[in-house]
Amino acid sequence: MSDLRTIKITVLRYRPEEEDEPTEQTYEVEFRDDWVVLDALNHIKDHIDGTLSFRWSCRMGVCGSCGMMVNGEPKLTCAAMLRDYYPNEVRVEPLVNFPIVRDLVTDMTDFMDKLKAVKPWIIREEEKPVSEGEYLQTPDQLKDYKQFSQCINCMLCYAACPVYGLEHDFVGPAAIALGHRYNLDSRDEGNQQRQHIIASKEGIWECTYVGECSVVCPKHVDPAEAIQQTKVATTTNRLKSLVMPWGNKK
Amino acid sequence: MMLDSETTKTYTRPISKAWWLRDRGYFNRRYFMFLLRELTSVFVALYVVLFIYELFLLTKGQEAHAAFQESLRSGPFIVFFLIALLFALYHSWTWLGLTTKMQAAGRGLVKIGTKTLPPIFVALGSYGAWLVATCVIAYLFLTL
Repeated sequence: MSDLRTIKITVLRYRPEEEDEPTEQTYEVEFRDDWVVLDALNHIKDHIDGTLSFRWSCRMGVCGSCGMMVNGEPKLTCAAMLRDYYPNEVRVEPLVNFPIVRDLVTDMTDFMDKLKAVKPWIIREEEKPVSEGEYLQTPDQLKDYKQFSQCINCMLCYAACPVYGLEHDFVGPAAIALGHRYNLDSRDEGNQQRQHIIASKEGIWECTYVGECSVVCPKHVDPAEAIQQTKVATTTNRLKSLVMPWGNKK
Repeated sequence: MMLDSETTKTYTRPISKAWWLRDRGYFNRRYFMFLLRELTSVFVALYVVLFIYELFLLTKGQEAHAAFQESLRSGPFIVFFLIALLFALYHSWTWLGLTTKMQAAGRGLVKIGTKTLPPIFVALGSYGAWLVATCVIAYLFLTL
């Protein structure tokens, strides 16, 4: 085990029953070389200040619960090594662009509503009986959408997106990427049901391509790619339906 | 976490108008470059206004048009044209660079059979078409 070092962790605190707006609190934490920011927060909660609130679960970059701003960047705190910041101070804040509920905990309601709106599940016009077996798919068909299915709903992309910060009606990167994931799925027939959300003004056309959503995505989902692909596909389909109104509009 | 917004006192942090320079205490180069790209439109629009005005002067006779063209050769206009050119190049370059986004390796929109055309070919095609169009327009302007 390597020697312990001490790092300053400044946390944005918000206790709604005590204060009207957030304040800062700094802790000094002794850490080991393999500690991540989440370890430091857990250390603070367990040994220094039990009132600190934050959200976490798996500690291995899968659940998407521990997303926070670390020195101004949206990060999964379970993947942000303290040694990368040492000897400088680490500043931890709740994800920006979301209302703060308490300390580092944000209100996800808006994101959950938008996620539900794009219907991120397989839609069939008519389900075939179970006796007819699975809906088969080739490796190439899987490849079409697999990357977009890696989203863990951590919301870092929403915190990175200034468009979402300024225009809260924007459906946002993750929800569009997940809608796109199902639109690309060969087993799905729900494209038309998602289009009025995804291809609306509040959907892909609100995006002005800052691109930061893809930069911060811890799973390399690349929501900006999903949005740009959907813009091209939507425009192409619109043109096709004008030129060939008798054609298949799916 | 789903909340009852009527009983929970949440706090929403405001966004500064200068978020692209300093977003809640931190500078993000990509935000700055994004806003710069948006700003390019202003210079392109001003250039177009100048161009339309120049076309309008053609209706006022050759003398008025020649006088205006002469004034365009002054220092401030040359500086403006240089800035507008740089911004137009920056905007075109970044805009055409987006073609690689719709054509990511293995799952792009442009396909030959079942195989996706590598993004580099789509990007080269876009930049190539841009270069050819620029050369054609330049040729027409310089020779006509």
